[in-house]
Amino acid sequence: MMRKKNLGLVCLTICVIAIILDSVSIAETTPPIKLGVISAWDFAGGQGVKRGATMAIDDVNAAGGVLGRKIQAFVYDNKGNTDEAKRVTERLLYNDKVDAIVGFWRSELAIACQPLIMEAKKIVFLTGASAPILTKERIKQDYNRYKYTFCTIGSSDRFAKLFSLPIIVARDKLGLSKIAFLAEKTAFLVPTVEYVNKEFKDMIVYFTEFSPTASDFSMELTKAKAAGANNLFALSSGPAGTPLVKQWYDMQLPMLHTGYSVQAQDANFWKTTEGKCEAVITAHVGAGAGLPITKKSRPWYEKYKTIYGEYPISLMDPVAYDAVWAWVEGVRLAGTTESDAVVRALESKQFKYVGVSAVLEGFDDIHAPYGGGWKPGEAWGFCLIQWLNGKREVIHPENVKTANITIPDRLKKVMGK
Amino acid sequence: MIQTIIIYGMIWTFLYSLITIGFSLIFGVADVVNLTHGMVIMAASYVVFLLVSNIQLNLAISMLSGIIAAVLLLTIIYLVFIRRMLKAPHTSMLLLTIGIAMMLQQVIILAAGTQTRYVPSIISGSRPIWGVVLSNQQILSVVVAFALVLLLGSFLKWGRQGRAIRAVSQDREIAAASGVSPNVVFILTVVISGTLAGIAGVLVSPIEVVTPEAGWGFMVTAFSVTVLAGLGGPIWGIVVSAAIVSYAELLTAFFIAPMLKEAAAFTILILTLMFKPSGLFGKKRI
Repeated sequence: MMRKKNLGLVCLTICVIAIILDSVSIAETTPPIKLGVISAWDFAGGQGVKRGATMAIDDVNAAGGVLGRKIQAFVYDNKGNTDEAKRVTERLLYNDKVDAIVGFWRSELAIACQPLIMEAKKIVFLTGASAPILTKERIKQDYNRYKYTFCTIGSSDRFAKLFSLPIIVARDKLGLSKIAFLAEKTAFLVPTVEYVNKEFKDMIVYFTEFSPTASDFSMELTKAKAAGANNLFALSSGPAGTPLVKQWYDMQLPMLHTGYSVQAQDANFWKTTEGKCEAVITAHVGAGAGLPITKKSRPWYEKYKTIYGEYPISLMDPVAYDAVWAWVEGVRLAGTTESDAVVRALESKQFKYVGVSAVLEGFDDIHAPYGGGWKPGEAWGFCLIQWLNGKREVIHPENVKTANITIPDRLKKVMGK
Repeated sequence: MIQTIIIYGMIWTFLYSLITIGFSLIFGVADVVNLTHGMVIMAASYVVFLLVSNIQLNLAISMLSGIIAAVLLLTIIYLVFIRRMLKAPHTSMLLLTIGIAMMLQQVIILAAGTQTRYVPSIISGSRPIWGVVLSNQQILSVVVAFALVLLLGSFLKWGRQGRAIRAVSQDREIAAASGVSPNVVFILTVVISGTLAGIAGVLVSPIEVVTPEAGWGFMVTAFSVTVLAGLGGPIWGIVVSAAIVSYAELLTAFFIAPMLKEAAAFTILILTLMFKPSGLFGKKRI
């Protein structure tokens, strides 16, 4: 009897081992899904794309992959250069034969590379590149050709209102109503520039545009001062954001520095500017500032620090992380990596993804979603941060703020407050 | 507003002079259009950045290292490449030095990446000068640049070696017949030029940003000012030309559009080559 029982146990063990070995061999022999990640690594936004996307790929693989397959990442630097971006995109498409691409930080590069990706009928999840032409314009004009484009952060015309929040907060809280408006001349900022110039026309006392690589703002700032501005509202995604802040400080201008600056979102900005960014205010994606936009946001924020040794360096880190996962969810829903099927899955009402920076509930017909998850009317959990005593403090919205908007004594003195 | 334009114009006049004099000296003395000059300035900035940020070396030692690195780099470029082609046509020299400059740019990118870098200020704080608030770093940079221009002007006018440099610049063969060794003078000029490039790099980097492309910007400035000043002229001719270029840039930025600032230097370069090829103070046609 005992012998029979032992024999049965041995048979059962052999069967279990066989099943495990079989599944392992299937996993080992199943080819990985190939995902391309492309951005300009030497810029804070581009580095953020690389970090966020690779972190997501590692997490997907740690969770067992998708459709029983691991993701193999092909991560390339496009050097912020159009020719290099095209070359790298073609390499991803025809040499590495990726199933999809995630990335792009500058709209100009994405505008040049998008036709190549569409020609190959591969899905691209744009991260920072958000000029309306990439989604709502091109997709609407030629749906069959451009339907493979998704922009997880949404179209930049939707940011206009969010980016101009510092104007409203500075006016309502501090009574600063004379704006010197300095805007970087880049494709993704065009809608915001138009919006601000129209909506705040009566408050703008000086307006000019500058190159993303500008390094001397002495004449612009002199004119801003002469125009009597008390709010230097600047929009910049490139390196020009840093010399602008340094010169604003050095010239002791009687105006608060507000706006949207990718450089000022960086946790290292205090060090880079030698503390000259004191009181600078910038719009930021809440998850990148450590806010609990969804239940996943805070754990992701702390995990990021464990991996990279510092907190997220730009708004791109959480957005790129979500881009990878959104595509994975689309693949899971479609049951295949075949582009047309994934597009249908992402467009369907069944698609819902709770990310770290937003909740995405179905990509609409223009493939640039309005990310929720914060509170109604505030897409992508945008917040305002202010640099105070070496730290990024959240000053808006009220319900999550970590500090009150402040004008430091140094600035009060020069502003005559 | 006028004070701001005048003060900032003065700052850039002396910084542009510092950037240009080294380039102009080699051009005038050895007849070499050294297009690596801007990259040598950038190399000095990058050495400071790398030593300060990666090794956390003292800022003063890092800056001294930056200047030494610039001298060594330019000397090596001269001894290994330029000296062998001294008798080659200008076109060959232009192509050679452009090639070396591009190679240097790639080396800088490999060592430090393409990201914009920032060098900390030597001194902090700011103070008003004639109603315009300037950072102490800007004041220090302009004072050092002014002192160096004066020192170099005196050296070239009254120093024994300085007179030798001027002699070779005016007529190499007569200078050689008078016992002056052109080869020694060339080396001396390269060392002076490298020193000035290194100092320009460490003085400008805390005010500006440090990028591999910035070297070409310095080169455009140096070239425009040299062409406007002309070859073989006095040091103060370079200072006057630097003033014209810097004020033209500031006025363009102020009255027309900030994004057209760089176009001012190019316009001056084109107009000078078309209508006054010998420059304002030059003794020979470029």
